[in-house]
Amino acid sequence: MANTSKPIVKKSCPLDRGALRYIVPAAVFALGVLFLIIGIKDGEINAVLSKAVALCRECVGIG
Amino acid sequence: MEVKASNKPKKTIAQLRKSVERRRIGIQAAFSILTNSYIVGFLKGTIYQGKLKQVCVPGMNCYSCPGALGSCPIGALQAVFNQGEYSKFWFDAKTGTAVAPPMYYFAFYVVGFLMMFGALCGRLVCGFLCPFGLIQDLIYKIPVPKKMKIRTFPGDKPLRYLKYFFLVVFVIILPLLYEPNPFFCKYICPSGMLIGGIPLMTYGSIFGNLGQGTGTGITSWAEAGGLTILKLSIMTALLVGSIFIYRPFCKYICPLGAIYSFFNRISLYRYSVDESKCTNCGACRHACRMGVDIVKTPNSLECIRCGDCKAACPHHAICAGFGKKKAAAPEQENTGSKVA
Repeated sequence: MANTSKPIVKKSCPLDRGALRYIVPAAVFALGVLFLIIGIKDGEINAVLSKAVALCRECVGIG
Repeated sequence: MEVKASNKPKKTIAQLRKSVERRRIGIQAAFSILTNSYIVGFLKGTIYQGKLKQVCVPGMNCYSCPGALGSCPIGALQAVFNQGEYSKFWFDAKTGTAVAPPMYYFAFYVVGFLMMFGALCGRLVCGFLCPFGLIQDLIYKIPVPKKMKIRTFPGDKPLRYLKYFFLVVFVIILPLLYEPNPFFCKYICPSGMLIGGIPLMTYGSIFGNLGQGTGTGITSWAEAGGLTILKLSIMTALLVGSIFIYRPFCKYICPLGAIYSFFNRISLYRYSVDESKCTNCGACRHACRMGVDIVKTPNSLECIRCGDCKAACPHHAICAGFGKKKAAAPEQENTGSKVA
């Protein structure tokens, strides 16, 4: 494929540089773990289970 | 560039792209089988009711599929948003204080789960772990004349925002405002119809209502009504559309893809372009079936991390990974190969 004469226009993202490249995903991951623990401690996991083990008739198109 | 002579057979770009695609579909298939391996469900026309269903799967996988071992995060999100009797984290939507009903619950567990996967992989989940993505991938392989495969069309870009509308309105606002009602699952989701409704109703039609005692109680297709017709129509339109358009559900409708897309720019798994190698030849742009220009936006919200652009790059300028990787040095001479 022939090269075009158009210059490369690359959007630079500050999150791609330096330590932020790792700190941001690590922080989001840690917050996710925290939320997960809060959810489990609060019994949310049981709400998920109770919904998931009963057939959702509407979800499968019967309602 | 000088390339060392190697005894390995040289792969053309087309071969490389095929092998990358095969590996990706293999991973998708393996993960889909693993998360839908409750064989008894298919044999008895019922669904799995064990503890594993507490855990969400990362992709779009209806928990009412006879084989499903885990929960669909979108279904779980809708279910939890308006369930509160077990919770102490109530808050009044209007005042923000923790008092009497109507009170809403922030789905910590499901949101936390999505944040974890999002922070690690972003939309890599869409490309590698989603069963419904796999179905669309396979359907897109149905051969039709090349000019019938639609890469883009007027209105394609604005339509991409539709998935955010479905996320906000059908997954968050409506289940919050009204009784626990999975609006997206009920009125839109084709996954539930395809891997849940059709197998269960067909089973009921053939073998009778054997599943009644174990939770489903679906007798036959005779139970189908207006909702079935609506969902069948949406599902059929999407599946037929998948022959001509690459992953229409993921591009325009999927709220889970919409959630993961927010993480694409910050996730640990990232794409980058080595500007010293990139000649802006357009091979990656031409290869991308999601319509992403990886050179301009390596971590576009639309990128499902399938790796096709990376395989298609004749200059090995695109790198992807969890760490700060440099693009691999070319093992074989690809220049001169056919790109598309």
